[in-house]
Amino acid sequence: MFPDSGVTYVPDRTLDALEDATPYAEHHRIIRAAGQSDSAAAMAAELNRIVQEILDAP
Amino acid sequence: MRLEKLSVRGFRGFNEERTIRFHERLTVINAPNSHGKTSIVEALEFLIFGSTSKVERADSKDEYKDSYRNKHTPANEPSRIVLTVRTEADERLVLSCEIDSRGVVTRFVNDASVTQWPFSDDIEGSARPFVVQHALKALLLAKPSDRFTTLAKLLGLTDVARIQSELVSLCTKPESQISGDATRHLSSLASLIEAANRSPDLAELGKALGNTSEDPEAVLETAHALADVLAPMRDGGTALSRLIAARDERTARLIPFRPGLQSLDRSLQAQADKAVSSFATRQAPELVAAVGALATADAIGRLQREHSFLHEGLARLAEDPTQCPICRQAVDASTVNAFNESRVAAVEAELKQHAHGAPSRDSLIRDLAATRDMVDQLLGRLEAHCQAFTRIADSSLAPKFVDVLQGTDPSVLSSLTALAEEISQLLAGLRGQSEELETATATLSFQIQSQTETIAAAEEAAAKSIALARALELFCATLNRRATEATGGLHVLTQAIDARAGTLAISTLIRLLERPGEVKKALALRNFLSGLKTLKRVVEQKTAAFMEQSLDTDLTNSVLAWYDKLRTASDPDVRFDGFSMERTKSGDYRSGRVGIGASSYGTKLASAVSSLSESKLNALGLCVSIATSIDNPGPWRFLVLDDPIQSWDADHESQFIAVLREIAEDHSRQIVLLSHRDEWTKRVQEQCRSVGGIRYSIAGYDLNGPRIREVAWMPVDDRIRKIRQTCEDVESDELQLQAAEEDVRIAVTDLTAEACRTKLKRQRDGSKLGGGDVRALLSEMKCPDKLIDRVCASFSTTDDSHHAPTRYSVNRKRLQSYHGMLLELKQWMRSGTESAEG
Repeated sequence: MFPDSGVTYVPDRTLDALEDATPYAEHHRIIRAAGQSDSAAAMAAELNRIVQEILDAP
Repeated sequence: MRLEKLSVRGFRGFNEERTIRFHERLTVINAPNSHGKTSIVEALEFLIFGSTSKVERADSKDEYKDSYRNKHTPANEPSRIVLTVRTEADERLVLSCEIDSRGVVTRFVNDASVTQWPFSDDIEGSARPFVVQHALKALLLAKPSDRFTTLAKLLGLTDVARIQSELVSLCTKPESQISGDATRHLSSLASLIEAANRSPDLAELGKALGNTSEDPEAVLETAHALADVLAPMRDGGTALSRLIAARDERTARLIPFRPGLQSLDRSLQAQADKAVSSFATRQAPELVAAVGALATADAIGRLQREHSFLHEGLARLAEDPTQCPICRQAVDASTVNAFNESRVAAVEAELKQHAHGAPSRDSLIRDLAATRDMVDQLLGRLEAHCQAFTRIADSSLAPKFVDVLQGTDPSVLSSLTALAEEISQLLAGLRGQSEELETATATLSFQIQSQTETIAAAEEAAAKSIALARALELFCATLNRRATEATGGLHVLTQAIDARAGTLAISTLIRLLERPGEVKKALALRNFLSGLKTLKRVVEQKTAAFMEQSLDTDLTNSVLAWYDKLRTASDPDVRFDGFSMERTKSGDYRSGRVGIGASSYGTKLASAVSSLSESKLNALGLCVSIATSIDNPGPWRFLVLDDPIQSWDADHESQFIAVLREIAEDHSRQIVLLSHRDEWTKRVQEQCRSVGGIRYSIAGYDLNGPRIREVAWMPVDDRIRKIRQTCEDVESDELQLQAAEEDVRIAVTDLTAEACRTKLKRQRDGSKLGGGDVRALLSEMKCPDKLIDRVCASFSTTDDSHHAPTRYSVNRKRLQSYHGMLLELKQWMRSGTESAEG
């Protein structure tokens, strides 16, 4: 709750609603990252994981 | 949760400790500008939320850095805020925090350190109970997108706004977040698409490449089909080989080779790295050690021969111990045996010691030959790799290049030639060092072969090996750098050749088919990133729908209700009309934009921001804050209003006092009101006298902070005097008479509490006494029964909440009777020491 505590809370219903509105698994992964602490960095990291998976594909 | 007491020291405008006790209903703090009002609000906000909305909204956080601590506070003393609150469960909590000189904040509940408040779960989703001017302006006059964030916060949708902002930002420009490798794939694809779109023969391919929903496999099939058209099957071969042959056949008439330079591919780079590592760090030092160890190998050979000789001698002595098996002279058998046995043991021990690591001349010679082969092979590959580039420096071809590049920037050819010369020179340097290494290793091999090796020759070969390694390292790094630098120039050159030879389309197809795997990955990557636009739209529409639902159900009607309470009879009908999410012409929500509707005499206006006056906007901002605090209170049962009225006329100011009464009485909110308007705060006190409250006046300010003085809310004598005036004033209307009757009730409880203090030496809060309490206390104080009955009869016309009972009607005569009762009660209580009217 305090700005310096690093605690964040995202209501699941928001994330659930966003997930329901897109069928793509990659989108779901990014949406879930939005629910994590330090969400902007978490989303960027998830995006890069997906990108790397595409580049590493045989 | 209600506020009871606040102590502040060393925070913002407070240097020395100051304490404020809050009334359970209304606390009014009046002070001129810059006398510490906002510091009080900030102390409460910082303590509860860990930051203030002023700092959170600041564009430049740097300007507020270290601004919470009062600068006059000694470094060894923490800033301290202590707040006593009472929870809904009637539990008293002492919340406090300290900020040390490094800015580290420590929080406590009842003096025990905590990392979060016990009520922190209840805070999520509730509006902050603070109404501050800069927030109102930020809300209404902000851009619609910023308004979205602020309103989301007020509606407890902070996380929705954050998700909206962060996800939309990520999906709008995902390219800025991805790795350099991925970016290179994308730019290579973009260049391929551009080239395909420029060739009419490749129109179909350009379309397929540009289609973000096209399967990458289908794109490659299109490319193969086009290859069959541009380079038809004749003598077999793959599509790629046919295309290359077709292109080179045509371009060779202009330039006899295809200019190009690639960075080292993985295989060649790995071979070079292996050579560098082998020469510099392992082979060179080992070579000197191995040559040095050859002498040891020779010694071992000698020992092995002696060992065999001794064994043979011992075996023969065993057959005839009386004579030497070699010279046949008589010997002392025991002496000879003892000597031989001890010598055999010594030789065996020495052999055992050298059993490991004994070098072999043959293997060393083989290693040196292998080194020479490795260098030769590597240099051959590097030269072949660079050949299509270094030939640009061939002066005999210069006129052909000039011809092909006619009409282009002449610096293209000159810079390519310079780069090609540099690579040629570096390659020549490598070749020279390789020959020196070959000479040194050949000399050493000969010496080893003839058992005349010297450490000097080994060191010479090792030094050449290290020098070659360093040169190789430099060459690879330079080549990779120059390959990137030459890309633009080579592109211009090959495009010019292809344009002249009519092979642009074929070259584009070759680019695609040379690395089909890379193209497929780039297409998959591009399609994925492009698909994030869908996610962006989903997020924008869903979060806007959330917000609109919340605005409709939780905000608009409530704000309208409060806004109407502030209207006066003479107000023009230009008014706030509700909040809504802005939409596009097609009906979609516009991303994160909240509009504020307005109407004028039934006609919709563009926006309240452009239509309403400053004072109306101020009123609207207040109503938004009040509505969200009342409807979405979380654990808070108080509302702090910092300088709420701005440039209002007297009528609107009075309306707002009625609003304050309603918040305190009908919504049971504890109000802390801060204002610089002395006259208006007195009117608040006057019109809310029956509500009850505490009033503070800040009259001065010095280094230690504001000088806060408590001002009596309404002394009981003043209240009794006011009742008499209302009774005597023939123009007093029903409302005034009713208010006077409420005053009777308050005067009774205040007098009873005062009597309790003087006669029973007990503290009682008058505002908390009911009819039963008053009767019991007066009886205990031996008040005459007749007077007690008269006193308690006054409770029949006002209930414990100061509200009139059903079927109540004002009665001036009754009020006069109550006034007489009050005088009698006061006289009894004060035992005739003062005049009854004070």
